[in-house]
Amino acid sequence: MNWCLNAVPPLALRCWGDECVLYDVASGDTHLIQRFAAALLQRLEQSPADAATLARYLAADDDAVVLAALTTQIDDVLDDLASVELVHRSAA
Amino acid sequence: MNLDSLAPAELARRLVAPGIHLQTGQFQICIQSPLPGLAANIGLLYADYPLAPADGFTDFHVRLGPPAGLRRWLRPQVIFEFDSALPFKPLPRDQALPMLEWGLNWCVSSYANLYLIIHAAVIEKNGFAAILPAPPGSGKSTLCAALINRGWRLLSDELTLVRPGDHKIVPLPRPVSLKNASIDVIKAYEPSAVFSRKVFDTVKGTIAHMKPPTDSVARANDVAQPAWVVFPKYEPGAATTLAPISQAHGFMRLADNTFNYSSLGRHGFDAVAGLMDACNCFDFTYSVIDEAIATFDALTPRPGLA
Repeated sequence: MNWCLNAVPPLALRCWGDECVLYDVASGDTHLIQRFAAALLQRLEQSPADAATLARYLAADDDAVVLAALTTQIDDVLDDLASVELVHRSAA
Repeated sequence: MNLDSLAPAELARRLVAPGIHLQTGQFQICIQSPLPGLAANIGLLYADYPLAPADGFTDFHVRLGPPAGLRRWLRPQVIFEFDSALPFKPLPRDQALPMLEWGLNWCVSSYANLYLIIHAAVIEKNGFAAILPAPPGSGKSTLCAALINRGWRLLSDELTLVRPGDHKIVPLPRPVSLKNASIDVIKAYEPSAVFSRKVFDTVKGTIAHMKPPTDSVARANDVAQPAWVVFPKYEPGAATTLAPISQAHGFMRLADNTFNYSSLGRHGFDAVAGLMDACNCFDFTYSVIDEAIATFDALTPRPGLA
């Protein structure tokens, strides 16, 4: 299952330190998100991806334990972003 | 030529017809009214404002006068007309001045969508502006009134106008509205300040308006660089506290206080983000005015801010 971005690129995203604000053009909503979540959205701007792919994209190394934990974290974060309709899961 | 060049009788005559044309910041307004009390208040509070040509472009035409029918005489009321429409219910006639000020604020906040319009006081010193967003009752206007009597320039006590593109603050200096206990606080703090008489039993309690400093009106075309966003809160007995908040959190709170953030869409987002790029943000709690002023005087802009 891939994660897909709902917003139309380019993202309206501004970051200061570890926090970012994102403007969703479709809904008119503005969201306060962490930079980690912003990085995921910016990667999904390029193409849909599953959590494991996103983990390899973000990880500093290939340690399997680290990647597994990161994959779970990524799914949790993207579930939160899906609840505000910024992303969705797709079987394609 | 300013309004104070008109003798009171001439001012009152012109207010009846054809109206008084004034330049208030970037907006030219035309006020018409047959009410003698309102004429006196306009002459007092708008004395320093430039008269504008009657045949020039007028942004807002407003008229305050008695309604038709019994309420012209029986518990007399006043109505506010904007471009011949009646956007508000009538008020008791002695509330004509607050109604004028509320009505003019409504005109700007409803129609001046060229700007990002924040519900905030804004003041300036040494070229740098401090934006004070706050809900009613937070002590924003009291703090603003004190600061402009101690060296800060009034840009606005109610509506902060942010210019698109460069995000400079565009002044809209108008009489400062004070409520309830804050009226006597500021009168005691600055005995030389000029006030309209108190108006009682309004929806906001007792209201009086303070004449803006002459210099603030004279410099109404001097834009300012925003440098600070300070969310004020008056708390009796509280220690003076200035607590930094992150720009992302400042963004969300500032957007909440912006009248036209949603209607401006992406432009609104970009404008608030531009402010956050320039400004340090704080929560500010105070109970002693002199301590509050010392805190503001000690604010420094970000290095390299033009």
